[in-house]
Amino acid sequence: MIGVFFVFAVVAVAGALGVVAARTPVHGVLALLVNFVGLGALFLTLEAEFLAVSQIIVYAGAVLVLFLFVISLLTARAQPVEGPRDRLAYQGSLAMAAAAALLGVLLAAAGRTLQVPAGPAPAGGPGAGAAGLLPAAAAGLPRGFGSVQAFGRALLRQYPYELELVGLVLLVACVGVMVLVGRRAVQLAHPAAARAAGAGEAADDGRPASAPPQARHRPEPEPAGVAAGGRAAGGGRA
Amino acid sequence: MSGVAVPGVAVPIQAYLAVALVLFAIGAGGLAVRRSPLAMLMCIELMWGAANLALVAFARRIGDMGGQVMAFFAITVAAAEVAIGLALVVLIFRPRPRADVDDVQELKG
Repeated sequence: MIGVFFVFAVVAVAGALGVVAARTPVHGVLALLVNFVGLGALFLTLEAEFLAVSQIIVYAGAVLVLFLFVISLLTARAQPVEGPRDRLAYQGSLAMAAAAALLGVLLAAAGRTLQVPAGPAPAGGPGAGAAGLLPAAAAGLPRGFGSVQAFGRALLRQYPYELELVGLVLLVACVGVMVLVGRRAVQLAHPAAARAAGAGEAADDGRPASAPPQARHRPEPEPAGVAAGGRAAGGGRA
Repeated sequence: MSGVAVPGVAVPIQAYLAVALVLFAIGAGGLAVRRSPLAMLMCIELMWGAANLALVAFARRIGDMGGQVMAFFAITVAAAEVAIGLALVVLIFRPRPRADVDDVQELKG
């Protein structure tokens, strides 16, 4: 048991480090897959069968495929990865220090909290001490804990309204995605594209395009060829 | 009981919690370090996973299925979040030459 835990804990942490270290987005997705598999196995060792399965199905099956779709949408051009760091160069070491401090604070808080014994007493053992050990199988746990039946019973009997709310959240997310990446929204997203579209409409109306006050808002010069990558911008330019 | 729970040396909950906190810190650090929006979203996923692991570990410790149900809700909300987040990333970064959050400066005064 403890060997299984260590193996998959190492797998999960290695996957997480791979996500942070990956230079290419696809490599990051693969490392994230490793992390999710490790987490799913850890869920299994905690007797959360349904959660382990849904972790694999939802995350590794759906979310990562969504990531891959977006990567294939975004990386069909010259520079798919982040450029060299030209501003906030000190940010990396500072962020690492902040993350380390966060880990220290969290570990300290967790250690203090876990000093208080809570829940059913573990089934003994010489090194149990301050009730730190998880109760062994079927010792302090309710009957059938962690089974899919128990999960479904808890989900539908104790948390039915929360379940409905989560369904509403998913519905809103679906509608939001459709609103966000609908055709017109994409064309009007970027200032260059919006300007081009506005110029096109103004030309259709016969009035002069109000390009100068909008162009004032863009301090950084951007190559016109790449900025006009969208079809709307290209059409406005032509 | 589940077929995976092998009776033997029990793993302390502190070990699970330490793994969850390490994963959370890695995700938070990566979120601050990386500048690719996709990598940042992946780091947020790491943090969701870490929180789920802590929830499930405490559910197992206390013997209450509510923790697992909450982790399930968290998985669902994470899926919704990543859908919206990726839609925003596509919206913001598709017309741009590269995917780098430092390039988004339209609100800079």
